[in-house]
Amino acid sequence: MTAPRDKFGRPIVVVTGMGVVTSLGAGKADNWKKLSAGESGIRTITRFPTEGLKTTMAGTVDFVPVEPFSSTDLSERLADIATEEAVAQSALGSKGDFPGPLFLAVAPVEVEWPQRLELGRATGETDIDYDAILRVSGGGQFTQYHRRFQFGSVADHLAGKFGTKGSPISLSTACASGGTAIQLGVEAIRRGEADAALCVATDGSVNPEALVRFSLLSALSTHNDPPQAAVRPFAKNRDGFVMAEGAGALVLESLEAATARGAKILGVLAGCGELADSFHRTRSSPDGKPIIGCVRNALSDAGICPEEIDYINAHGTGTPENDKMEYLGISTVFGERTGQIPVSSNKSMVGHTLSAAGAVEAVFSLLTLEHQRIPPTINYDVPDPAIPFDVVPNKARDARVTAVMSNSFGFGGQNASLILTREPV
Amino acid sequence: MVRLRRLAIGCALGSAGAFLVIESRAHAEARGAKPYARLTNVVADLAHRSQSGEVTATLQKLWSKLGKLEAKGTIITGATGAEPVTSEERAFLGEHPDFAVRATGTMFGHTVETQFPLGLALAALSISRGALFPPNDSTGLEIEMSTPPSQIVVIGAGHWRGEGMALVEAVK
Repeated sequence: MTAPRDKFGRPIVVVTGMGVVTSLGAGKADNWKKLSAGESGIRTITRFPTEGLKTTMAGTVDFVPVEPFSSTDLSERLADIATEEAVAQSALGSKGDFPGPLFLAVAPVEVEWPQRLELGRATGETDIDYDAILRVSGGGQFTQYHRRFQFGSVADHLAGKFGTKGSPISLSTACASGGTAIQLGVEAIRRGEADAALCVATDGSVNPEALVRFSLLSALSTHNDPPQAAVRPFAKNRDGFVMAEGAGALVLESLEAATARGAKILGVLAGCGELADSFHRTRSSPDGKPIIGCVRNALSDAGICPEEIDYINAHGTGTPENDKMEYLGISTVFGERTGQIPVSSNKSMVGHTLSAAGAVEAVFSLLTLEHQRIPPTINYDVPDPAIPFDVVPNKARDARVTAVMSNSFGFGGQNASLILTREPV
Repeated sequence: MVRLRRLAIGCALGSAGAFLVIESRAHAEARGAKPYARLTNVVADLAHRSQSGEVTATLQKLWSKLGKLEAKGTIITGATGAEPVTSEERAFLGEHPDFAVRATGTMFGHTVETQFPLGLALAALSISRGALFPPNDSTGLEIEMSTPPSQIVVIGAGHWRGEGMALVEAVK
């Protein structure tokens, strides 16, 4: 028997394990139950005081305790939970010995306020300058923070715990990061460098500084009450995205390797597309060309035409700009069919998990294929006539779904699209 | 040589940016571009560094994956000066005494993310100019090299984690 190849002669890449954690809960079962019931994980922030802030809610993961808190520590814990679920489901390798590389999407890392304050207290002074900080830093008592706040520290932990092979790749392509991590895994398998890859994306960024920064961009929703109604993708009264936390993990394998070991195949990673938008630091190119190009790249990488896509898992952040640009991009590529393709936003329920979103939504896309049920876009009460998508409003819908496009369009200029199918195309 | 000296432990930070344009030979030739050098191979690994000797062993493993290496070659290393990794790298370098070693940290400091592409850029420049830059080391580890380098191995061992190696060669 010849090796199973796609129409371009490359190894077919399949998914044999997946894990997810979001503000809705830990694990696929809990997440899917709530997602298909239209439940929101957005809640009022209790992690830190929010007096004076315009936005006081987020999709925090409060059921994973991290003390003292740092976003990097929470990201690591969330990645652990999702990866454990994915690796266990795949039953690939043995405990602590995953036979492939790790690609990790992780938020940019910096020393955070609890640690800065600890450093400040250690100087014993009230008027703290750099000389004082250098003096207490030099003795080695804060070595653990030097390591913790290296960009590669979460990947280093995962590589050690799960025994992935080679040098782990940590990456950040802003809100497209999760999609990029999966793309790198797909490409490694297609090149024949690996039979399996572990693709993980994680984000635990809800801390005061990150919230303030996004707020300064006027990117966040201020519909604080009730928090569950804050994210309103594609609705006329949408006013911004909501920060959220979570992680998604996928075990990818060549179809040949998965079949040889009798693994259950959960879906096919049929295609990946990417395109950078260099128009502006935070605004999309007004002509939508980078989004259009990204979507077309994914279709052509999968070797399928737009007519074969029967569900679009939207980026759908709920910012006025994103949703408008997403409609422009999708309607340009899909033409007259645009209004007939269901397009829903998981972010209406889990919020925007930032670096993790691409992988979290890839898992939800695969669950959509598995259950033949499309999760809804909730909080859709006031349609925007400028965006005539079929957004699967407010209630999940049973439908025949064979090929999903999952989009990640970061307003930092990075775009990534994935095409996931039930069977090889 | 500051970076590979035995007594002065620790790295001195340096600021640098390096940008390499990498293209297939056919693509470069088709547009009439003159290549500096050929990037023949890049390999990387992650030693867990829980026991002494792991970095030395990882560097040996990476060395064996580079391809065919000529005797009396050249090594450009981004050795940071941090310990114990620099001592482990020195043990590895000791196995190749006929190689002319140059440590970029002596001149540039530890440029962290830039260290490895900086080494690649210096290797490509040295090959294209037909001469390696002179030793800059009081310990005698860096030896003179009078012949034009045709192969340069670039080494990057992170001050905390990660090991990488590349083979840069003259375009034939």
